[in-house]
Amino acid sequence: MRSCLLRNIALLQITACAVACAGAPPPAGADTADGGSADAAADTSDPLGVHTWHRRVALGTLQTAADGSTPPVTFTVPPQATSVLITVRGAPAFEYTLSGLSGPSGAIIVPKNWLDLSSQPWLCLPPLCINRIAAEPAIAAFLVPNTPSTQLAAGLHTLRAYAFDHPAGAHQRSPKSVPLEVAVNLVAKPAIWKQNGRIDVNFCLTGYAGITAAYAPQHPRIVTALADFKAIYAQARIELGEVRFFDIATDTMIFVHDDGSDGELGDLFEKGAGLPLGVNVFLVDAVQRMPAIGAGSSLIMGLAGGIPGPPLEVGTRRSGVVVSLRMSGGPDVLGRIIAHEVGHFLGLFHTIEQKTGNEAPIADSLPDTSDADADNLMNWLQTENSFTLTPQQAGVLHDNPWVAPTNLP
Amino acid sequence: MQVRIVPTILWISLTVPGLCAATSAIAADIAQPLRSWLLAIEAVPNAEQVRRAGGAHTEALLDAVIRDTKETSYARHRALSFLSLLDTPAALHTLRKHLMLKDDSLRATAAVAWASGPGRRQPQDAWPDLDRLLADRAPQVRAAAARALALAGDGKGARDRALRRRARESVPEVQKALDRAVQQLDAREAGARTQ
Repeated sequence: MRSCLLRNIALLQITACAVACAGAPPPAGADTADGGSADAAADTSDPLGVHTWHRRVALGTLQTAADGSTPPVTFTVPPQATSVLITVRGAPAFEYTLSGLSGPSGAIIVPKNWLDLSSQPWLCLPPLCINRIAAEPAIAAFLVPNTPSTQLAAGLHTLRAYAFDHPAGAHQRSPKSVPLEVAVNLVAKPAIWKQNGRIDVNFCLTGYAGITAAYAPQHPRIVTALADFKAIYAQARIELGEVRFFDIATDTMIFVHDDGSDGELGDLFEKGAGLPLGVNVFLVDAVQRMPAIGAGSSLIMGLAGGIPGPPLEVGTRRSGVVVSLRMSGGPDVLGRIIAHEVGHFLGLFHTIEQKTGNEAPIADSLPDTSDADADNLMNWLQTENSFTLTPQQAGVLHDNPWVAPTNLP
Repeated sequence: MQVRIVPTILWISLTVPGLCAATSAIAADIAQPLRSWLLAIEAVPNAEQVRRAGGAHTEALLDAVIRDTKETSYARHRALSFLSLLDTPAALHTLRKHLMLKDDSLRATAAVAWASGPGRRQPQDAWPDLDRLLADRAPQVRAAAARALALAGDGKGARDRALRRRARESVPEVQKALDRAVQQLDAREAGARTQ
């Protein structure tokens, strides 16, 4: 029942249709639509074919114009698809986002003029984007839907990707004319396949505090963290499948500049190349973050490669999460921080963003999360109790192709 | 006399706790936004945001958090870091004082704060302390200071120090950090030359 349809409507318009792939995630770089007839499955008990739920479709290399945007590119979402995850990949010196995404009959998911209306290009937030999107350098990924308020309709979708940078310290974007690779990951998981899922995890260890791959499975701090991590994701009916430990030769301290470059973080994530497919969790001594303006730096607990990160790939410059081990003493929140960063990597935003001035509070787009819920895993504050996930947050996690259904027929 | 003392005691007993409570409430009001920043998982404020959150006594509040051993480890590390963001004599003074902290891990954070803050703004004034940190008894602190050398405002001075220290360093982890600093400083120099 594998099927696919790829039509070139015009030189710069590519239509791809969802298709099936084997139940196991495909290897990195696998895919591309291979033509053939579009005989979408009619069997609703196994809607995309035999044990199939994901397919990556490359939309090709596109060039952004002087205004930073690519020409419109189209792809078809089949009736079976439950979510799509779009990736935009380019030179690491620049950041990438979408400058428009619309569904059949012109339904707007990302308005094409949002960059003109927003004060900053890194996040498109409600009311402009009910389905939030976040820019990233090197590879940006966008999950649709990431809120029940957005419906993924079957049919022709049109997207435009956008490349930009911003001079150090500047809050204004500078559009870039560069080549980009755009791909669409089509996910088809009927409700029954979202009842249970699993993610495989690779712990990438720098040897800090004597935590090596050989010792980590017995290290008390790692054992406790892993138990917390498992318990948190069990709430979303997601089990940790393969949990592997690897020694990675790299810096134990990572410096992250808020100037839009991916720098040391990208170098770190690339060290995961060649590992088995899994979400890479890098445990380092410290992650030091430097604001875009002024001198100084601050320790942070962790960072994710994206919201979400690139799907089903390891070793890209955004593939993974990094967590600081330096803090010790008091209640150890290591497992919760790992779970929090993996939550971002799979597509969850903070339930509410920290207020930095007089701006209105920015909540996520999930109706069942509470702005005041300090116990939620995706609270922006570190607390001892940040543990819970809501059903709608679980739904977002299951919409990500990293979460493989475990109850395939 | 007794008649006058009793009301006075009564006045004090009623008023002082009230005043203390009021003062604490004000302090808590000032401290709460700062506390939020201290406990944020990923976010880092800029200097203006730290100042706005902490008010006129920001440095003193950060100092109190660093010294409070009952505080969470993360808040203490962050408070040290935040001093590097502030370009004031009080922040400089407080951070310099904490370069002597007994806890190796906190001192490592202080070393990075020193190199990335004062070391970036006024490298000539910051070198004596940074030199001491590069020779610290704890390898963790030496490694942190070494890694942060590349952030210093004086690239040549930083490179010279890294090479000097590298010749004497015996711990592989610190050697690696020094090599990385030299590599980054060379890249920075090359980048500056091409611009």
